[in-house]
Amino acid sequence: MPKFHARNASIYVDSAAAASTSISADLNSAELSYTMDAPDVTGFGDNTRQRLHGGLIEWELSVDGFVNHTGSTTAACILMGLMNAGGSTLIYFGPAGSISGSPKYTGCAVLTEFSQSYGTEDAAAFSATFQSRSGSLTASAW
Amino acid sequence: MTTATASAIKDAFLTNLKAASVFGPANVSTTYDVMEQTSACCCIVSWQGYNNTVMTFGNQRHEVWTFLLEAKVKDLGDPHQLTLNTFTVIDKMIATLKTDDTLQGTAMGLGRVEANRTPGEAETTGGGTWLPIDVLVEVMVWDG
Repeated sequence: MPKFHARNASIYVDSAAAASTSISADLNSAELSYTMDAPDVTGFGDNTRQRLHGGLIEWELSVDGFVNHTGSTTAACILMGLMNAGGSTLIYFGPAGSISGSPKYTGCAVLTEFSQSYGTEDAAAFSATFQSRSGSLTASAW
Repeated sequence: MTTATASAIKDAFLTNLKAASVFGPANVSTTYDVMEQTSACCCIVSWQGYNNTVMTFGNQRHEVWTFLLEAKVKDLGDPHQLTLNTFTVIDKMIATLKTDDTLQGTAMGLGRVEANRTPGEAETTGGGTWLPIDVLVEVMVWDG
């Protein structure tokens, strides 16, 4: 897929209320971090730093958005419900949107953070963090 | 969700300012010919700017209209009263904006409100001499 604009990113979550529900409409930022442990095994006599490969893999999806309490299917309502239900979910993330053929990342996650912020000159906003729960992050297509 | 268009916002300003005792129904307009028929104070309502920014992946947008409310205080021959009237006009305009910051449901709210005048500055229009007071109002709208 060529370079694309991220303004149509799609994020879906499974919740107790419904499977695969979009929360994209209220989000304005998403950041996917995919990391692997690489233990440092540098020893005396090495000229460059030495690390081991094949360590533990971890991923994290952080999102920001606007608080919207219109109905019960808005991002803020879904995430609040998810947090109250223990946070376990399945994440579907499409950085280029959810049109058929677009890249999709799927993974089991736990919602570990849901914060809301309010200010006199700002729209009500929230941030949320999903962290890997089990298994790997799978790359496929919608 | 609001029903904001420039016309709807304009109509709300006209309604609210006409109800302000300092102007009255006949002395608020969108055109400058109101100055020819005003005996003391009038206000001309026009839009000055607009910006629209995408806010979410769902293409929800944040709009901000900037409206210019030009109050004109007429010189009736008494310089002391003329100056006092500039205080009365701005007080009444600010009070009007404070009492309805959603402009009759057309807007999410008013953002920055800024009033400016240059002391001593006057203009001659429509056969009269006027002290101008410019009030800039940001009107915030959410779309979608």
